[in-house]
Amino acid sequence: MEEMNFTESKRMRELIAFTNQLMVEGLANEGDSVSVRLSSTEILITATPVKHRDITIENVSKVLISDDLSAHRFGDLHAKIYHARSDINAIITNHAPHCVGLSLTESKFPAVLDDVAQIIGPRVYVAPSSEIKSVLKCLKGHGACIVKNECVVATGRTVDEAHTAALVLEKGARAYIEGSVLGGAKKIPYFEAKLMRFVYKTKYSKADQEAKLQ
Amino acid sequence: MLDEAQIRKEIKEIGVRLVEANLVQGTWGNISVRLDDKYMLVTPSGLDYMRLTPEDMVKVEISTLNYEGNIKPTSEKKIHAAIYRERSDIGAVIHSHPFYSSSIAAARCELPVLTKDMSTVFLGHVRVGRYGLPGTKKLTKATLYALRGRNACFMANHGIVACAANLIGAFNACRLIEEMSKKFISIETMNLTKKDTFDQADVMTVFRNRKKYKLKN
Ligand SMILES: [Zn+2]
Repeated sequence: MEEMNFTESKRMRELIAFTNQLMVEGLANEGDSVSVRLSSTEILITATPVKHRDITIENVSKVLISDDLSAHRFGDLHAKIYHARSDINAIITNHAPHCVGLSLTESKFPAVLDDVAQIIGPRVYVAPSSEIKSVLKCLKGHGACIVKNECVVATGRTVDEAHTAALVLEKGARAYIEGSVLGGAKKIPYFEAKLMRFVYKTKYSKADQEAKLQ
Repeated sequence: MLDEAQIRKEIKEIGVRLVEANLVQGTWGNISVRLDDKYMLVTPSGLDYMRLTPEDMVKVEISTLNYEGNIKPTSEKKIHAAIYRERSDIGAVIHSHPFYSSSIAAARCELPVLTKDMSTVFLGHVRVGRYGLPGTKKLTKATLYALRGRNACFMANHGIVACAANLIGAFNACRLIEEMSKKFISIETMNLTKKDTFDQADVMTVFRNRKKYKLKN
């Protein structure tokens, strides 16, 4: 890989650290991709991680978002999201089991945990396909969405935030499903969920995310 | 008064143990220790436990919530302070959002006493407080009410509060509530599926059946 400047090296280190973290948490495996934006035209993207083995710099490619990224699992989807959403700087596509399980029967499900309302939004939407229009629609105002029977798309202002979104979404999906053995998970009232999302986006984590972007 | 420098270090250590035991994720959750009648030390707002240093812990006045230094304390400091004001037996509080406990909190359901340990550690079954937005008086009141006569409670759609006379006790309570939440979910699943063993896949079956029979989620 060509030489990188200080910021690019930092993004590379973050990408590797969080991808390995996702693998430890069972949220990244073969067939999953993690990427981070370097500029309006370039990103770093992982190759398919090798199961049970730490990824290194060798498993990451620096590519143009205009390149053909079909060699990377959902690479084209990553590129199209970056192209359409300048506010998104990191994307994770994975196969978190509870999320994919829910996507088979639901077109959306409510936030049943405050974390989900804050980081994802009051509802989690399931896109019927990985077609970019439908994914962007489900991501509008939301930190993540699920593509029916395909993958989770978690985004963030930093790779750290995208990692938290992936983690919280799977936890929210799990709580929604597990709640059913306890009489049913109770959804957070819409107004409260919307308010939490607004506060999270505008205040709570802004300073932290901006610091991580330095 | 407890040795403040030592307590700062212990809070950092317990923070790391919470992460390692998968009892906390990201910057979520917070820890506090009562220093004396007037002050508590709490974890700061929005910083993850691995990057946190002992010096980052914030000294907060229990009665006024005024704090020393430039680092902002956790936004859930009100709950910690209210517990110390109400309960002289409590010396440390941990608030977290572990996986299985979160599922119970989302279902707003109580955790019955399943083992002897639970009676000793929690002093009875674990209640769930009424829903309130994070940081509000409503949530503080609901948490205190659910915690009466107990050392742990669920916060509806949010997580748990675990407390004890000291920090290690609060950590053990936090670990036990997650362990017992997992056990309770498997028992309830086995009851519904009428099976002798627990299979995670059965939870999804129960979910789909509820949907099929249009039971409200
Ligand atoms: Zn919390």
